[in-house]
Amino acid sequence: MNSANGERKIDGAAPDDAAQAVAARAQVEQRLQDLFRFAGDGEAARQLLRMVVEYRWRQGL
Amino acid sequence: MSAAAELSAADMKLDLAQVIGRIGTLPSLPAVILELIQSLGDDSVDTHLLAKKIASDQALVAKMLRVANSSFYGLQGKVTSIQDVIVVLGLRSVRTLAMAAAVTGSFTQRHAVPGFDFNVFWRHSMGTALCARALARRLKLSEENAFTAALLHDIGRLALAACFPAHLTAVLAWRAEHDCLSLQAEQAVIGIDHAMIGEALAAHWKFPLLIQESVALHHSLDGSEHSRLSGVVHIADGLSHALQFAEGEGFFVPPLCGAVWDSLALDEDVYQEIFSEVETQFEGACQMLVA
Repeated sequence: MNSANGERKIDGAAPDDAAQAVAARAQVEQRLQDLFRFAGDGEAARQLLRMVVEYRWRQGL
Repeated sequence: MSAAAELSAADMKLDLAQVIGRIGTLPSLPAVILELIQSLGDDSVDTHLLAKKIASDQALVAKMLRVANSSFYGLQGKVTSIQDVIVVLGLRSVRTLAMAAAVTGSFTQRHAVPGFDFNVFWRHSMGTALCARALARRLKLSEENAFTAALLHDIGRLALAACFPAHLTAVLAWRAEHDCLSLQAEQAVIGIDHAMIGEALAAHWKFPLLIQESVALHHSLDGSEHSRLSGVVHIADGLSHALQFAEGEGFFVPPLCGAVWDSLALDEDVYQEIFSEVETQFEGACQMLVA
C-alpha cells in the first residue's frame, strides 16, 4: 500500500523497516546473481534463483 | 617451467582413445565394491554373504565402522561389526556407504594438482548426492540410485586430475583467465570435457548403465533421450551449486535444462523443504568422505 506521503511500504511495517528489508533482500539477490551468471536466462534458472533468494532471505542471510 | 607450460596447445588436445587408455591404468575398485555397485536396486542380495565379502577388506571395514558410528547416523559407538552395520543401517545404506568409501579412497592427495581441491570437490558431490536423494524421494524414484549417481556425477574431474594433471593445470589456468565454467575451459583446452571422461571411467569401473548415463549427460540433457535419473542428477547439480556446498574458483550454477526442470513439476514449497533438509544433513554426511 502507499503511505500518506506517497511512499510505497510493506503492509504492517514502518517505512524505514520496509526500506531496510527491501535493501537487504536486494543484497542477497545481488550476491546470488553472481553465482548464477553462467546459468543462462532460461525460466528454470530464473525460478531457481528466486527460490534460493527467498530461502536465504528467510534464513536472514 | 611448469609441466603445463611445457606442453603446447596442440599437445593439450585429448581424444577419447587416449583417455580410455590412461584410465585403464588406474587401479580397479575392489571386487566387493564392484559387486555392490552392480547390485544397486536389487534388494534380494544375500546380506550374510555380503557381510562376509565386505569383512575380507579390512580397510573398508574400518572406514565403514567409523562412518556408521559417526554423528550422521546417531549411533556413536554402538556399531561394532559389518553385520551390525547391515542390520542397523539396512542394505541400501550399506551399499552407498561402501561405494562412497571405496571411490573416495581411490583418489587421494597423491593425485593433487595445484588449484584443484579434493575437499571442495567432494563437498560439491555430497551436496549433489543429498539433493538428488531428496528429489528422488519426492518423485518416487530409487533414492539409492539417485544418491550414488549424483555422488559420482563429476568423477571425470578426478580422472583428469589422476591421469592428466598437466592438462588439468592448463584447464584451470584457462578458466581463471577467461572467467567461464570449468566445462567450457575443458572443451576449449583439451577438446573433451569431464562428463565424457567420467563416462569412460564409469564404464571402466563397470557401473550400471543408468549411472554411466547420468555421469555422461549431466551437462547435456537438451535434445537427448535420457532416464529420469539423469534428469534428477542434472537438477541436483544445479541445486548443489546454488546452495553453495562448495565454494571455490569456478563453482557457478551451470545452465539448467528447462524441459527437465518442468518435467519434475515440483512446487516451490517442495524445493524450500529440500533446501532446508539437505542443509541440515550436509555436514554430517561429509563425515562419510573423511572418515
